[in-house]
Amino acid sequence: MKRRNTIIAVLAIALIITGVWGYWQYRDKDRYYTFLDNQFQRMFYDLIGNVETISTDISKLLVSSQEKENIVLYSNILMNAYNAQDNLAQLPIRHSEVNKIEKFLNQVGDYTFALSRKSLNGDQLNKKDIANLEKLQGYAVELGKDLHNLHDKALKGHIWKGELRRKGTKKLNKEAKKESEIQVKLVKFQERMIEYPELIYDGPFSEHAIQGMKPRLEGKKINEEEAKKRAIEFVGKATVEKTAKSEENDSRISTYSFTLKPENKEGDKQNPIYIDISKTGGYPVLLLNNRKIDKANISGPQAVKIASKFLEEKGFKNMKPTFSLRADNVLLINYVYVQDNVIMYPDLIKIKVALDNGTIVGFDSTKYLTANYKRNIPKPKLTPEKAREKVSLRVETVEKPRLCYIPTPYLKEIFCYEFEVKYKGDTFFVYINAETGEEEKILKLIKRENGILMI
Amino acid sequence: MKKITAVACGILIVIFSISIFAMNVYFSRALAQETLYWGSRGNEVRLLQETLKRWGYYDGPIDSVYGGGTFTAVKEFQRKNGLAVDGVVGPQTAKALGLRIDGNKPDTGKTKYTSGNKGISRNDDITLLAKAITGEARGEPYIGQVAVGAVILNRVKSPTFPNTIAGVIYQPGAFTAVSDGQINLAPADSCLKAARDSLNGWDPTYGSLYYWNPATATSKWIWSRKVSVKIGKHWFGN
Repeated sequence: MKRRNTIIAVLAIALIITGVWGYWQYRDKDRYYTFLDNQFQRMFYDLIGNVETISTDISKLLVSSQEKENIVLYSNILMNAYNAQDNLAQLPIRHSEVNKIEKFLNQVGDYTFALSRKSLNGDQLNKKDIANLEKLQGYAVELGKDLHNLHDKALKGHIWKGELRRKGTKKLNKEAKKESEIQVKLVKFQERMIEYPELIYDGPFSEHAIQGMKPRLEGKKINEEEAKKRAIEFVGKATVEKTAKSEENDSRISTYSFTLKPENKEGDKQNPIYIDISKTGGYPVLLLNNRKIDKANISGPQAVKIASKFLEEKGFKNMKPTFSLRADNVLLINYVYVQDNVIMYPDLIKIKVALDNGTIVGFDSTKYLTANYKRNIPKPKLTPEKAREKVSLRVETVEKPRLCYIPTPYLKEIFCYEFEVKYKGDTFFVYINAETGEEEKILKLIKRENGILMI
Repeated sequence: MKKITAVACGILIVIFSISIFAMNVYFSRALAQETLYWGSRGNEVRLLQETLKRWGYYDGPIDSVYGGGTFTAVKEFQRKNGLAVDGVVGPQTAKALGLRIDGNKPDTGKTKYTSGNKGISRNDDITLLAKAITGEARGEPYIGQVAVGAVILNRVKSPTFPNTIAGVIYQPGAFTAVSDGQINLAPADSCLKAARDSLNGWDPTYGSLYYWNPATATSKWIWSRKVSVKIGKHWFGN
């Protein structure tokens, strides 16, 4: 009897403790939920605020005639658009339901930034710009309205909680069919965005930049056998372990991919060589080999010599090393194409040289194969002396400027003078447009013991 | 007798669990900031005495020693300002007094242009990317790991995704390794290399924005994507 009572007492105490513990856990969990929920609410409110500011600012742009006022509006729209995109991306909503809205917000910011640059150059908005702005404003108003409705109807209390829980469960598939109000609304908005205009302007998120550049590479199509031969030829001696090929695509290079096992090479047994050969022309596009490299026997300059010789042998002529970075006993070297003493920065080939025995462990010619062609280089309108006048007087120029083509995020190439300048111990590269004299770009050179980094 | 043992057992359990909570609280307190109390000396005490004197709480000598006079003055100050009256200058009291007692000297206000060869690197990016690759693809062949890194970087460049590496990786629901915490594993060696290669521009996916494992993918939507390359267990596409 007594014994039973003891057991009951112990069990009862254990139960109480478990209960208390459970309650604590529950309260903790609830606190976390509330905390997260509050964060999401804040983001949602910020999002509404951002979108509404965008729509009013675009309409202000349309009626304003003052250029100075415009610059303020442009930067305000840019800031709000990026903030809105940031807030939207952090809400627990499935990507497929908001990707168009995200794109819309990014493009609004990017587009207005491009317009602000235009306005700095003294250009007025043309008819197309006005039409685009009107459309964008319309979408911003509608998006703002939808978000507002959502907030009035649905956003009472803990709505994000359900979203979170759904993320947490394994029954994701089943649950996903039951759509929440937020998702329904946003999907509906996305469906209305079908007529969203294609925005073509000079900026990284413009339509032509998104679609990517059509590779310029030419030549006849080769078959798999031929590609295999070229791959082995490029690597030296090797046997093919695995073959794959990519699907045809207009905006990128289509390739045959091979996994190779190098022959008679020590240390290479573990890690195969991956190599891609382009279907058009049969050029090597990409090579990677992740073998272990324990010590460095070769110096940096020696490695550059090896890489230069390798490129020459493989038929990539007139390439000039510009930049190098050392990590894990591997030297990464960037090569650019030189045509008539003009440096073509868009035509880039990257090579990784292993510093133990000087073999090539990485190769990437995607940029080169996409951008390279024989350019018609015009005579620069500006003399080097005139171009120097455009560079800040605070800096000292080191050498004579070099002529070059630089790439931009919107795929256009700009013909420039490149000045190497010094400012209080730092080195910069300043690019002055050889036609208009505008300062197009400034790069900062960061020298470290393991190489040179350009930012 | 047995009953007593049982009760004792129960009490022990209760005490044990309470003490765990108590220890938690105690240790978090122990990590608190530096404080000034009876017996403290030094420059900070002098500052304290000066302030108290200026505000009329203290009329003793300014001798940089926390003695009885200072103690009374501090208590007086705490009472008037609705702080806990304990005669100890902790963070709360110090804040109310406008003192800095954590030893940090205030900025002298002069900054110079610093030549920027130090302190700038891409190591943070590399580590974060490597952690994401470790969580998502540590069992994949090396080229597949580079491909996952490349997809993350392609997303950064795409308008339909956030515009920073951290934004893309921590986007809710984007990567399972982030949702289930695998991203917090220490990055594997090969993944660090893969992160570096993808940051240096190697992209075996040629611009893909999505990848999925056809064996485990749960989202119907992902099947509507166009496949461009298959590497290891993953399919890559747009």
